[in-house]
Amino acid sequence: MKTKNLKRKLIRQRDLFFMIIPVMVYVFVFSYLPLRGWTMAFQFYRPQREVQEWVGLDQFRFLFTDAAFFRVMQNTLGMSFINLVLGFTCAIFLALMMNEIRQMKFKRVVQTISYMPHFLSWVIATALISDFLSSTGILNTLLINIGIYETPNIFLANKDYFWWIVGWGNVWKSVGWNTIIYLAAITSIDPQLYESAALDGAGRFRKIWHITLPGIKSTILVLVIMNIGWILNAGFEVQWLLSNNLTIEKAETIDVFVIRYGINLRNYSLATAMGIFKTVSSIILLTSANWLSKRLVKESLV
Amino acid sequence: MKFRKLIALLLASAMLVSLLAACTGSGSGDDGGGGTVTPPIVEPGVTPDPPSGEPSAGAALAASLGLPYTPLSEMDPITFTYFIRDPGVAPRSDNPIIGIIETITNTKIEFEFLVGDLETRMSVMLASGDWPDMAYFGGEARPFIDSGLALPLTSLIENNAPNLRSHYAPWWELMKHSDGEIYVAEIYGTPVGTQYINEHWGTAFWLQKAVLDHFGRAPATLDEYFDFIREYKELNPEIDGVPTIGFEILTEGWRRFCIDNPPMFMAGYGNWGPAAPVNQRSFDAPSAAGCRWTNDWNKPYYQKLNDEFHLGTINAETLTRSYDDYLATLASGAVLGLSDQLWNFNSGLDPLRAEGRFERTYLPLDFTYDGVTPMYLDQREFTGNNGLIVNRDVSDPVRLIQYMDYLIQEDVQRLLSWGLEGEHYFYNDRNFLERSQEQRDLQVESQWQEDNMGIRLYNQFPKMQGSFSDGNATTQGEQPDEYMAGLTDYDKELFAKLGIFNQTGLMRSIPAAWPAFYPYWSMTWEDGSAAGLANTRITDINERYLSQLVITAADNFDALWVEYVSAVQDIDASPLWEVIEQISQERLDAFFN
Amino acid sequence: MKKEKFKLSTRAWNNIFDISNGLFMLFIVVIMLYPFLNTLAVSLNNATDSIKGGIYLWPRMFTLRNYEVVFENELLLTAFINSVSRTLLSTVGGLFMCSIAAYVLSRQEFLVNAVVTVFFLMTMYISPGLIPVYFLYRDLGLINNFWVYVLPGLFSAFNVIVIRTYMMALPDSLVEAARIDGSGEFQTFIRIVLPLCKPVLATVGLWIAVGNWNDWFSSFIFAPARTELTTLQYELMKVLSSSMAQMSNQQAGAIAAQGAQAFQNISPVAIRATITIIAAVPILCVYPFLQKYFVKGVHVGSVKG
Repeated sequence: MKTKNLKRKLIRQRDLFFMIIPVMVYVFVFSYLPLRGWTMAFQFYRPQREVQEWVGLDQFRFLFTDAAFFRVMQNTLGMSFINLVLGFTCAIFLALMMNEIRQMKFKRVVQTISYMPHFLSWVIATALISDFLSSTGILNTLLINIGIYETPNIFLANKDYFWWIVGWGNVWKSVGWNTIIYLAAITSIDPQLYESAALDGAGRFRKIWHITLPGIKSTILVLVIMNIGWILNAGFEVQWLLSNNLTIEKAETIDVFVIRYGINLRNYSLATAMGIFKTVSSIILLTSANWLSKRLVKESLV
Repeated sequence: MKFRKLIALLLASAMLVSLLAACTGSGSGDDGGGGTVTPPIVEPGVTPDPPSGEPSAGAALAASLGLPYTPLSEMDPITFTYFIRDPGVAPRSDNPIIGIIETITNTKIEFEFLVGDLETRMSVMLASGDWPDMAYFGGEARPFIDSGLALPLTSLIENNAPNLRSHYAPWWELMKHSDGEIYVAEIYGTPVGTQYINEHWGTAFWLQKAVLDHFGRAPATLDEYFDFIREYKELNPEIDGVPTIGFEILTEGWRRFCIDNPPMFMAGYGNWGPAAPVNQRSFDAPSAAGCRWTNDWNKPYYQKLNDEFHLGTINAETLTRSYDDYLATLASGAVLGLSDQLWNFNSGLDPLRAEGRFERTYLPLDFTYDGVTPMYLDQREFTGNNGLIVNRDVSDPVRLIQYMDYLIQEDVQRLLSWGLEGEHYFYNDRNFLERSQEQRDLQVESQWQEDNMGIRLYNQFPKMQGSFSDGNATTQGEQPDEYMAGLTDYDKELFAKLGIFNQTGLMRSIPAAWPAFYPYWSMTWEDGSAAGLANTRITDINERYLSQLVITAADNFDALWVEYVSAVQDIDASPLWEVIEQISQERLDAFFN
Repeated sequence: MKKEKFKLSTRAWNNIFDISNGLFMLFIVVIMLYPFLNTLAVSLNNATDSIKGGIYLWPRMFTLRNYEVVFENELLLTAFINSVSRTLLSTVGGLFMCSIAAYVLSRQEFLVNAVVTVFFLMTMYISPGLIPVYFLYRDLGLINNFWVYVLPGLFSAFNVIVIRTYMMALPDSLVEAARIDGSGEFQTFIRIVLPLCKPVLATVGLWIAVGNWNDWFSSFIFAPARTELTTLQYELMKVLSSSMAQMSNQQAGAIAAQGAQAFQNISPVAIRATITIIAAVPILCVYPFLQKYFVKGVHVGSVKG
């Protein structure tokens, strides 16, 4: 009885299978097949050798016992967390506010301009950020003029500011670009909902709070969950470009660590080991976030 | 810091630091002014006779230009690909001088310059074995040799390249890898003839010319140097509307040698690298090397920087600047002093020169601790790994070697470096190569040079550096008369006031002869080895402490210094010292062989 | 009476909100536009002069020389054609593949939905490393082959999830109606679902296009030996890195005569600004055509009624 049922379902869904199987084959070839390379993490890989030397978990041992590892881990998590919170709140807030613009032309202009920094490379963006923060920059001039400081504060020389500078720098560069997805999601909201809310006498804020925000809730959730999986990817370019010897202690992320101790020393095995570590952590984080989201808001990725 | 990159840069600097005064002043006892000239090391190679009958197009062209004949002229055209580890521009296809070489040799070189990250590209090349016919990796050829991807050149050169063989004669044994084969065709470390020096491009303390002008003399010590700067700064709190900056320190990335290296020079060492030997004048046995960072002679220098920080000569902002910011700061003309290598900051001075503010450019000084002989000047040093390697799968290795052999001949070298007689230079009445002012002006633009001269082939293949057998410098930049002709009126006046003849006049260093194991920075170790790891760890510690030492509270300096030294001592650096000792011994053995 | 008063204050409140929102948007415009204008000004300024910094909204020494330097490149036209073709192919192909996958996964009754979702999701977090990827492409014959720009990048789990989320928010009634009509899954997907997904497809299409347009890394690693396969971004990167090389070229000792004119007329700062503008302009031109999909939205309401 049950198998018969299953069989009938299979037949009914055969179109879906035909549609998805080619995609799965593609994904297997391009994403899973190269994972053969993970064996490198358990070797001391040297190029052009038929036989590699197997070293077991030595590479992992090196990673986890290195004193620098915990420092870079802390920096990575710290900056990622700030990026996540600032990034999401700012993008959602901006998207909601943009959606409230009534002047269509103005709305378009604001939108177009807001994503422009996305097209600047980090080299240019960080140069502008350090101009802004320099002793003769706009921020110091302003703070001195309104009497908060007497002498300029050299922000980039203070390691305690570093995470926040990176966080706000990220917001500035990508907030406009990140609003696009929310604006697209807002379009799927049924306009009738607004109309009936207006009849009920709901104000702007109530409409935002009770219609728009719930309308994009699943998009937000999905993005948050996926980004939690990426928490160990705090990047390295911004940190590399914006840090200096005075702030380096707070600036090095695990990506920087891999570049210095893996890539630059051409220890491919170490870099691969770090890749495996990141993958495993990501999957654990993702699963937990997914589970939590399912429990709390009954919505999830899987 | 990426030590390997530093190596490459230092190499580049070493190559610039061409030495010996032509115009006296640097204290050399050698005759200057291009008078007497050391006999050429290069012996003319065996030039085969062209076959009888109608000459080929290449042979005819060579003959018409007075260039030697090569059997390559009779062969079919061939193309070799060549990867260069640095960014650059491939010469245009219509470059006239490269065109001449192509016609004569029937050989075309297709250059690929680096665009992205070198390590990434190299790792793919190494793992896959897909790489061009030859490559220049600076000091980083070793992994290609270790993995068997490079072609041994020893017998190829011996059998097919008499000119190249005699060019390499003084270093032949030193060129051999530990397996007794030569893999690297050295480009930069093989000087010939007299080494002229007009300008110092390496490490020094640089002082703005206006300050020297104001005091009318050079400061004698580092203390006096900072006194001069402070006094001048008090008199001139602003320079052309920009607040005066006393002393700049660049610490970005691998360029951090600006903060790392000065104490080594203060202590009278040459540009050794990560370690300093116990006795740098030991010529017959390797002198035990130790971590240079735990030496006592580092502390006084950083103590001095800390003092000057609290006196306001140094601003903490200098430690936050990126390289671009640093150049922009120098370009403002408001910086009075810095410790750096000229090639690293020269482009920051371009706007000043463009505006004619020559008094805001700099002269080099070589301070040391009391009673120590300064060793800032370096001769071109043989490194054994700064050259090109050839792919083991190259289609026709003999032809490639013959091509390189043709290029190294003196007449061809002159063509590549100086250009065509009449068009780019002429022989003056003293039989010296000279450019007219018009010809000189053309050379000033590097893009024009790249498009019209043979400079790319000259730079990228084994070459003569120093002087030709007739005493002429191998490049315009080293020709003493050309240097003098290019001086500005401001410089001429200032030099007269200071009693010097050229840019190096205020330096007291004498170009030194180093033992065979100098320098350590050109030593390489196996990929992923403990030596490399130790080296990276030391860099890590330096990054985290040296800048802090400059700005820490005066009463905290000693405590932080102790912390720093113990952090360095905690690193197990013995693998690094072992490699250094081992390679030192190998180099000495090869030298005495 | 009371009601009247309330209404008035709502309108006032609305106006206050609109004004302050407008001011906030002006602030956003200023801080987002500035970097771009600044980059434009630098790209139009004398390169040597730019080293000094301090250029804000207007070039200090106007010149078109930086653009000339970039456009002198012999390969620029080939590169442009390659970039446009790969961007078009990747965008169309990528959208098709991702939306098919999204459509199937949006059907919650699909038997192996969870398994396939996990299978896809994992790809976002695994990184096999560059070298194994190179070997794979070599086995597939993609090295130094134009298709290396298109084939490997067609699928993105992130895009699939984003499209799926949008599809799931669409009213079920539409798909149900189609099914009752007896149309096959593929037809439902093409005829009914895809047209409704225009806003999210425009978004994802923009992401794919921008990613492809800006990619220079695949030329660098997978097609370095074939100049006819070069892309615009790769050529721009070449100009940039060669300008850095020229900066240090001076050291090569070729120029001793540091006379008054002995300064370069090219610098990385200026070239970087110039290529940023050149690379961004085509995308800025395409954007308005896509934008209407985000701003207006689709009228799903009508179908419901």
